[in-house]
Amino acid sequence: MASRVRVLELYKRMLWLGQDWHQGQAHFTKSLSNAFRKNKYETSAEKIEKLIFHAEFVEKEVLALYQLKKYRSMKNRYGDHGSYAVECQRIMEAARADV
Amino acid sequence: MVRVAVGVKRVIDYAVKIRVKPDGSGVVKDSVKHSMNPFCEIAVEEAVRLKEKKIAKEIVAFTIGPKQSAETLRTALAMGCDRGVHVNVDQAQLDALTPLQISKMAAKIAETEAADLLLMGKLAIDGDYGQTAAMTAAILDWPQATNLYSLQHNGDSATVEREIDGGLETNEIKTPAVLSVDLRINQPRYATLPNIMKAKKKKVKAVKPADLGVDVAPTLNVIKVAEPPVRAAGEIVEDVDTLISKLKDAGRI
Repeated sequence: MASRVRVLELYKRMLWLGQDWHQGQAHFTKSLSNAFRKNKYETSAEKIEKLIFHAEFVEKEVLALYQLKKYRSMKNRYGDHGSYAVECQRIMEAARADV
Repeated sequence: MVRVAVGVKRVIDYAVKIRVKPDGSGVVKDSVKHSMNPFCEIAVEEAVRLKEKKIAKEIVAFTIGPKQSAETLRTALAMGCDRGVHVNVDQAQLDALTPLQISKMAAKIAETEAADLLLMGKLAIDGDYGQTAAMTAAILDWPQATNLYSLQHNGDSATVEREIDGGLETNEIKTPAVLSVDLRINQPRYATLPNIMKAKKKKVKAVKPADLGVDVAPTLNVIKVAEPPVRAAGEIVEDVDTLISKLKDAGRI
């Protein structure tokens, strides 16, 4: 069945994502396998399609979470020189102009 | 079309809580999660985008490190690089290497691989040196542009915007050149499993530091590594006058 191959590939792809999960890979794998196992005996093609769509949505959400978390961490650690420094400069210059 | 070389480094994963070894000789690395330096990911992403825009014909990723660095190199290949170069040094040697020695290796690789552009991250999150890109440019006698916010390749030159205190600086530099990327230049793609599998087929060349003419004998001795002091608790004062007198007492104003 084509959907069986799709589901298995989807599962493997999502397993791979677990390595960066903040609560640990074991936690992620447990949640993932439970979620897939719950619908193991589903036979309706329409329902399977919906479930695959949902899983792919979660996959995208996890990827977005990883990217955002990394970006924010780097930004906080290595400073945000551009706009904040310019803002401060403008405020200082305006303050000096008043004096 | 140009050939791009991009350097990547295997570092302790950014999300890991760093622990100093009890003897103060370094940081705990055994059984700790490692991954590609985030700024290196950004550099690889920039290189791959050059290839997608048909500006680059080939991307060569290189790394200097122990056998585990092969995974980092595979991640770069999975993101879209064409082939890899792995300079083998063991973990102890790697810990003792300085940016100067790394730069000499990077320069030699750029020459042997006939690169037109050498991309790197602006710094690695373990050493925080931020020296390698600039040093490599000096050794190669190539122009350099660091902390890039944007890159536009125009044949034999490039127009770049650099992130500096207070904003952006626009430069035009001749190529070949060494470029180091900053955080906002792009959002790197995640190396998904299918791409990791495809990357296993891509060629990786194994090289020794001696082949690059670089001596890895330690030139730097780390005497002590310690955690930063614990931040002292704040103090709440009743009014502005008390605040000012306390600041004066502390010699702050």
